[in-house]
Amino acid sequence: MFVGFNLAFFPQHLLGLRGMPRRIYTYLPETGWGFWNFVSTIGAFTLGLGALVFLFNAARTLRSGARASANPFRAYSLEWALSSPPPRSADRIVPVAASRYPLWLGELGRVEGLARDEVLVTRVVDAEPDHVGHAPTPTIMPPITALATAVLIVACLFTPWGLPVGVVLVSLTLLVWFWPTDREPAFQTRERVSSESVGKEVLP
Amino acid sequence: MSEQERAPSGVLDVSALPRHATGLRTPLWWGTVLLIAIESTCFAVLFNAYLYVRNNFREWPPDERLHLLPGTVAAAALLITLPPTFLYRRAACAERFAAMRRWLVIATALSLLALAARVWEIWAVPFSWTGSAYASTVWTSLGMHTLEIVTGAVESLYMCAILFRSRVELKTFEDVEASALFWFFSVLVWLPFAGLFYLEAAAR
Repeated sequence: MFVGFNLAFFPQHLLGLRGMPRRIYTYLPETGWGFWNFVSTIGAFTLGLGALVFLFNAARTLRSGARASANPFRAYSLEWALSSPPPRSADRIVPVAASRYPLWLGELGRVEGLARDEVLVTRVVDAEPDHVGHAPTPTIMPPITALATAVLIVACLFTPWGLPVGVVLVSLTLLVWFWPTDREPAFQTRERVSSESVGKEVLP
Repeated sequence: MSEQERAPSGVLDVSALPRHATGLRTPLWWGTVLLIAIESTCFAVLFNAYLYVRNNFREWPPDERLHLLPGTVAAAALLITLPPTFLYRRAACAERFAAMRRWLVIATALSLLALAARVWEIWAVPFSWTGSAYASTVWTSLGMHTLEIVTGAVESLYMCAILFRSRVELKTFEDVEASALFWFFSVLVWLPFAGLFYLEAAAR
C-alpha cells in the first residue's frame, strides 16, 4: 500500500509541473503526459491490491486469528493499561501515573473517591490533584443547539435576515442549555445572605 | 497532595478534596482566557484592516466626520461598568454571595445603560457602510464590538436571574468570575478602536 500510494500520487506532482490540470480524465497524446499517467495507473492498481490484502487479512484474523493481549506491543503509555476490549465507561477509571513510562516503571495507581458525574481537576503545572469538578449532566440541548445552528447557516443562504434571527435562535437554545439543573452542590440563597450579614457584624 | 501522602497501594483517595475552586485553578478560567485570545485576534484583524485601507486614501477619513460626543459618552459609559465589575468579581472569588449579587446587579444595570449609549453612538454615525472602505471597516468594528457587549450584557442578566433563585449552585461563583473576566475584556478591547476612530475624526 505504501509503494502503491507513492507510485500513484507522486507522478501527479511531475504532471502538474508539466502543465496538466487537475480532475481531467482524458487528454491528447501530443501533451506528453502519457508516461507518468501510466506509472500512476500502475501505482493505483498496486494500492488497490494492497487494500485487498489488508481486507483479506482483517477478515481472516476476525474468523480464526490469535487473540491479541491488552498490550501486545508492551507500550508504556496509559491507553494500553485498559483490558482488551476496553470496558464500558472506561473514562470512569482514573489512573495515577508516577512517571512518563507508567507501564514500564512501577505499578499504575488508581484514583478513588469520585462520585458519578465527578471529575478530578489537577493543577496546571505539576498535575497534582487540586479539586473535584462536576461533569455536565446529560441533556438533549446539544443536538437542538446544533439544529438551530444549521437553521442559522441555511437561512443565511436565502436571506440576510437569517443571521439576526438565527443568532437569537441559537442564543435561546444556549440559554436553555446552561440553566442550572439543581444536581450540583448548592446552597440556599436566603440562609446564605443572612449568615453572611451575621458574619459581617462579628468581623471588625 | 505530596508524594508521601499517597497511599502505598497506589490508590489516591480524592474524596477529601474541595468540590469547587475559583480563579486559574478552574478549567472554566482557562477556557475564558483562551476565548479572549481568539476574540483578541479577531479584533486585532479588524484594527489592522482599518490601518491597511488607510494607505489607499489621500484624504482620511474619506467620509463625513464621526461625531465626538456620542462616541465619547458610549466609551465612558462602558468604563463606568468596570468598578462594579471589579467588585463583584472580587466578591465571587471570596465567595461572598450577597456582595457579589449586589454588585453584579449594579454592573448589569450600568452595562444596559452602556448599551443604550452604544445605540446612540451607532445612530449618530454619519455615513452608510457602503460609502467607502473606511466606512465599511468602522461599521464592521462597531458592529462586532456591539455583538460582544450585547453577549456580555445578556450573560450578566442571565447570571442575575440565576442568583435570585432560592437555591444557587456553588459553581456559580466560578461562572460569575468568568463573566467578569469576559466583560473586562469586552470593555477594554474597545478603547484602542474608540481612540483611533474618534481622534482621527477630530484631528481634521
